[in-house]
Amino acid sequence: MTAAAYTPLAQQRRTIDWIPILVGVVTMATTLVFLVYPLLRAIGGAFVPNGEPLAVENLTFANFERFFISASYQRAFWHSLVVGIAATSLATLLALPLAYAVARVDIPFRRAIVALAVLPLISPPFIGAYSWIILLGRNGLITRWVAATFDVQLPSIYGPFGVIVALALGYFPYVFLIVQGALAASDPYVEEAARMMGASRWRILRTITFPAVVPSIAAGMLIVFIKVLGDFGVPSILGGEYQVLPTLIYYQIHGFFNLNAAAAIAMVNVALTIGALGVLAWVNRRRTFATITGVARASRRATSFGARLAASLYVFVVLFVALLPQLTVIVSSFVERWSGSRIPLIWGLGNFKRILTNLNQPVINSLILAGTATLVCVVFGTITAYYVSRKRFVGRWALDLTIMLPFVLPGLVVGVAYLVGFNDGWIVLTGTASILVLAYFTRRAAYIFRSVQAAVGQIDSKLEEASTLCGADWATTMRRVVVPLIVPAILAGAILVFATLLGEISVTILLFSAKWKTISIAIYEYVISDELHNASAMGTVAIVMTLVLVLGASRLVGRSMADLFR
Amino acid sequence: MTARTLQVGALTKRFPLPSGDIVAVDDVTFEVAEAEFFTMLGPSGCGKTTTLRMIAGLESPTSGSIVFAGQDYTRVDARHRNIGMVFQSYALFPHLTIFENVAYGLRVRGMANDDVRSRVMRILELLGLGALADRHPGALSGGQQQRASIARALVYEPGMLLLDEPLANLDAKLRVQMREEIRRIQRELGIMSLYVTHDQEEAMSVSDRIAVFNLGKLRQVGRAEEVYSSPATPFVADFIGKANFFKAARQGDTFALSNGTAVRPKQVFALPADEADVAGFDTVIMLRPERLRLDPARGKIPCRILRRQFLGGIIRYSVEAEGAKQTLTIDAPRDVAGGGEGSGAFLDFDDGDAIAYGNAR
Repeated sequence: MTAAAYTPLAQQRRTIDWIPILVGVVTMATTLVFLVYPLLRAIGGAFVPNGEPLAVENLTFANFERFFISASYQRAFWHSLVVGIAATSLATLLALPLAYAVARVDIPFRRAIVALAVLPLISPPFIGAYSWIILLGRNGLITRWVAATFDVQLPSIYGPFGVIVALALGYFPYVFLIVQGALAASDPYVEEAARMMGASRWRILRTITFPAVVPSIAAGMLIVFIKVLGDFGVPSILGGEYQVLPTLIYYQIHGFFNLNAAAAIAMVNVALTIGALGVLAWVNRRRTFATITGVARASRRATSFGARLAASLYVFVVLFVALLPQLTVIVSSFVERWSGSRIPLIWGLGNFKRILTNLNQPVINSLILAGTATLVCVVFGTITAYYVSRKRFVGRWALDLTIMLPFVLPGLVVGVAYLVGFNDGWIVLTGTASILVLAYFTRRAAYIFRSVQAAVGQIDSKLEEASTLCGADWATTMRRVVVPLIVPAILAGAILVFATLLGEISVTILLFSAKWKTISIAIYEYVISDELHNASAMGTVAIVMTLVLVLGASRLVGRSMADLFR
Repeated sequence: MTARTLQVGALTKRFPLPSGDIVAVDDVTFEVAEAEFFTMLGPSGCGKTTTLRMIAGLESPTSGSIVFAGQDYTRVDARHRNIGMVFQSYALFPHLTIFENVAYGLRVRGMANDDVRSRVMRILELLGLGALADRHPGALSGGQQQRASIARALVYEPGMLLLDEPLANLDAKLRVQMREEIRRIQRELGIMSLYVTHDQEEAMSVSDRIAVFNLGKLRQVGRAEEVYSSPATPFVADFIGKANFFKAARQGDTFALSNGTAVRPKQVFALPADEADVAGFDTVIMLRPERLRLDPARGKIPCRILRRQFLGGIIRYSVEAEGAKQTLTIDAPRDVAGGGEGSGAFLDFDDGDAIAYGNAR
C-alpha cells in the first residue's frame, strides 16, 4: 500500500463544534421553561393570597396557616400520612413473603408469577379502585352475595379501609420486584458460610439474608410511599368523605379555582415526599457494603414439600386478590346487564360498541396526547441523557437533578405547577392540548433519561473516539455509532412512557379541557356517574393496550417485563 | 517534500482540579522518524497515554506543539488528522460486522462501494481475517478482535498508527504472538507507529526506539540497548531491568562508596529531584545484576548472602551489604563457591559497568 491517498488538511483549524453546544442550550432552556419556571411560580403562588399577583408586598403565609386553622386541611394532612404509612406497610407485608417465596422456594411457574405481578403496575391504578366498588360496593357482587347468603351487611369499603387496601394492592409489586431481584441475585456463598458455622435456617434469614436486602426493601417502600402519597384516583373514588392531600388540591381547584391554596397544599405534599427520601437516605446511611456480587451461581431454593406447598398457596392467594380488579374490569366489560343475580344476565359487546360509536374520541385523544408527549420525551430525554453522561459542563448535576425531580413529585403537584405557571404571564397554555403534552413530558422525561443514561454508560467512550479518528464528525458518530447502540433503550423507555400515559389521571384531571378528554378522564367520569359497565369497557381497552405495549417493549429489549419496572 | 516526521515540542497537559492542577504531561519533547516504531513506556499515570491522546487529537494540549510532516497539528480536529488508532479495549462497533467496522473510515470519506470492498478485503486478508468479515465483534476471540481493530485503523492509509496498550487484554502467549504480528505489518506497510505500553519486555522486543516516561516527564529516549546499558535516570534504570543502587559520595570524577572504595563510573548523570526516592540517596552508583560478581574471598564491598535461587540459565543471589539501597540482586552464570545462604562474601565489579547519578561536585 502506498503512503497516503488522503492528505490531512492541516489548515483545517479546530472548528468549534456547534451541534453539542446548541443541544446543550436547547436542553437547558427547555428544562428552565417547562420545569423550573412552573415549579418556581407555583412555589411563589403558595405565598400569595388567592387572586393576587406575585409581588413582595403580597407575600403571606396565609395559605399555609390553613393547615393550623382549617379542620379539613388538618384532616387531609393526617389522612395522607396515615394512608401513606398504612398502605406502604401493608404493601410491604404482602410483598416480602411473596418475594422470598418466589426467589428462595422451588415453586412452579416462577416466571409467569413475576410477569403477572407486574400487571397491577401497568393498568391504571384507579381501575382497581372501581373494581372494588363492583365487588364490594353498596350494591357490589360480594356484598349482595354475603347479604343474601349469610344475612350479614359487610362494612362499607368507602373510606380509609378501602383506600388503603386498594392502594396497597395496586403498588405492592414495586417492593416485590425489587426485593425478589435482590434475593435472587445475592451471593449464595455468604449464606453457605453461615451454615458451615452452624447457624440455623431462621438465624441465617434474620442475620444474613434480611439485612442484605434492607436497602432494597427501603427503596421499594419509598417508591410505594411516594406513589401512594401522590395518588388521586383511588382516594377520589373510594375515599368518599375521607379526604387526602391530592383530593384536597383537586377540590380547591375544581371547587374554588384557588390555585394559591392548591400550590400551598402541593408544597406540603412534596415536603412529605422529601421527608420520606430523607428516611431512605438515613436507612441506607451505613449500609454501603456490596451485597450483590457477580456470582454466576443462583441462590439456594428450598425444595421440601411443605415449604413448596405453603409458598405456592400464599403466592396464589395474593396474586389472585391483587389481580381481581383487572379480572373484574375485563369480565364486567362484556356484561350488559348484571343486577340482582349472581351470574350476569346478558353477555355481549354492547359496552364496546358504545365506546366505538359514540365515545371513541377519548381513545383518539389519549393516543394523540400520549404519542406526542412520548415523542417529545424521546427527543429531549435521549439528547439530555447523552449530554449529561458524556460532556463535562458547569451545572451538570443541577440538570441531572432537575430532570429526575418530577420523578418524585406527585402528578397532582406537577398539575398545580402547570396551572399556576401557564395560566397567565409569559406563556398561556391553559385549556390547550399542549399543556397536557408538556405536563406529560415533564412527568415522564425522566423514564427515557434514565433508560438512555444507563445505555450510554454501557457504551465505551472509546467507540466514539475511534469513530472520530476514522474521520467522522459529531453528527455522523451519533447517527452511525451511538444511536444504533441505544435504540433498544430508547424504545423500551418510550413504550413504557406511552403505556403509562394512556392511563394517566393525576395530571390530566387538573389540566384537561372538554375538547381534550382522555381515556382516564372518561373512565373517571363513568365511575363518578355510576356507569360502571361503560367504565369497564373503557378500562379493558386501556388494560389491553398497555399490556400489549409493555409486552412488546420487553420483547424488544430482551428483558423480562418485570425488569422494566425494577 | 518535507520528511514525514513527527515533532512533539514542549508538550504539556494540565488537568485543573480544585486542589491544584495535575500536570499529566510536563514539557515533553521528542521526534519520531518516518516508518519508525516508537514506544512510549512507563508505569500507569506516567503521562504516556495522555501524550498519545494529544497526538491523536483526543485531548488538547495546555501548551506545546505537535507537528507532522511539516504541518502544525496542535489545534487540528482529531477527525482531520488522518490518524489510525488501536485501543486497549479494541473499541469495535458492536452493532456492525467486522467488514463494516473496517469499512467505517472509508465510508466516512465517501469512498465508492467497490473501492471500499476491495480495500477492506485486502486489509482483512493481510491480517488473516478474510473469513470473518461477516461476523459481529462479539463472535470473535480477543486476538481476532484486536486484529480487526488494527485493520480498521490501517485501512484508510493513515499518516501514523497509534496503539494504546493494544495487547493488555490478551493472555500471555497470544501477547507475544500479536506483538510480532504488529511489528511485521508495521514493517510491511512502512507506517510510523507510536506504541504505548507498561511492559518493558514488550517495548524492548518490538521498538526501534523507546521513550521512558515517569511522573509526566520524558526521562530518556533511545534504542533498547542504550536505555538498558546507559539509563539516564535512576527510574529508567529501575524500570527497565533490575538495578542495584549503592550510596556514594562524589569527589571530582570519582565516587567513594560508603566503605571508602573509589569508583570511576563509565557515565555520570544528574539525579532528578523527583527521583531521589528511587535512588535512595543523593548520590548513587548503579550496577546491573549480571555486572556484579560474588566472590568468597575478596572484592570491593563485603556482603552477606541471604538467599540463592536456581532459575535455570542463571543463579540469582539476594545479598545485603552496607550502603546498598535495599537487598541486592546478583545474577551469576554459575554457583559461587562458598555461596551458601547466610555466609559472608564480597561484591566486585568493573568500574566500566557502573553508572553514577548525582548532582553537585
